[in-house]
Amino acid sequence: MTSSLATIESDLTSSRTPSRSGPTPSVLPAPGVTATTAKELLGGARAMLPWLVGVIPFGLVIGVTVAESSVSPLTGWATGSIIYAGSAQLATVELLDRGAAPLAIILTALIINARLLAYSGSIASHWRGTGRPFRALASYLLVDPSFAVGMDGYANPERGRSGHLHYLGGAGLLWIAWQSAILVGLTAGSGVPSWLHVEFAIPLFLVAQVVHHADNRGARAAAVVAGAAAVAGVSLPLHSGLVVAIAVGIAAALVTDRLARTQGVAR
Amino acid sequence: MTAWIVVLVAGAGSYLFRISVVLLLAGFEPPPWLTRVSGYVVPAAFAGLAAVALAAPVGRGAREAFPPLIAAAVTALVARAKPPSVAFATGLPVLWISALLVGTP
Repeated sequence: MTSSLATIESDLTSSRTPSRSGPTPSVLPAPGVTATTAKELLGGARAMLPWLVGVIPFGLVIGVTVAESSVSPLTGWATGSIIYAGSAQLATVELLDRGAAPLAIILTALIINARLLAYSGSIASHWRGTGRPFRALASYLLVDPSFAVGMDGYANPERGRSGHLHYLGGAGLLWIAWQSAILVGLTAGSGVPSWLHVEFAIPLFLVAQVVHHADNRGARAAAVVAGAAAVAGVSLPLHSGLVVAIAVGIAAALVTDRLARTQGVAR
Repeated sequence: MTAWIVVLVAGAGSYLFRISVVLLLAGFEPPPWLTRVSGYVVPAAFAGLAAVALAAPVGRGAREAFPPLIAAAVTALVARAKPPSVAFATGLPVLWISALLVGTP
């Protein structure tokens, strides 16, 4: 465990230390390193805050759903740390409560979470060369909000490996908030007034993220086509509409890209 | 017991999704097509997630559909010029005010 933590620490700090000259304390990190580490961790946590406006009520709702179901509170709460993805957790709890076949529940949860495969492929290049403990931990924490905060952090090429700290700061805060929200929902009920319409908080933040990232023709095509396909495929079996929509959206982006390149060459 | 097995298998599968490509690409340079595709994952996945949630009230009538749709439109408009957090902070009050105006419960 100690060596794993040491490897993670080394992954996170190695690129910031080469410029330092002279002897480095062997036990305590240099004050500058600690300050930079804290700054990047806090930066990631700060970038996560707007997401929490929607994430916390969602966690509360899952907690309340578990409390009102026949699923044991401990099993329901454990979905938060074991599955760690809201929609898949909600589907799992609801299907367990309805007495659905175990294989059908597992398939449903996995199909909902298949988008994580795309996130893994997207963020993988930024984690090349890191140690196994970091990759194991960072992958475990990978979910929609941490993916968005992480990718924003890596978007600045000057950041180098301190982007890992930015990711961990945001992803760590998200994990703590998520587990806490489910526990509060489970024990104390949601308590969120309905007029706040918190069910739309995450979708609104997603809209802002989409517009922010749709800075070229291909990305705009991906967003428009995936959005339309997801709505059209909402009744597909096992909640598979989203996965199909992501694939169709990316295909549309690649076609748009190719057309733009062909037109560019023709001109 | 069955519930625990379901949760553990679903969790293991989800973790495999999360770490699979990370492990696959750990030792070598990602192919150019994957780099190109990865740039489109955020707009495609997030647009799909948002569209399904925002379109859900449409079937319940215009009164219920209006607040989230107008809030989403304002959020998108603001996000073209401002950071996502500012756009979100603008869109959320629009959602509340429009819901109040149309009397959505």
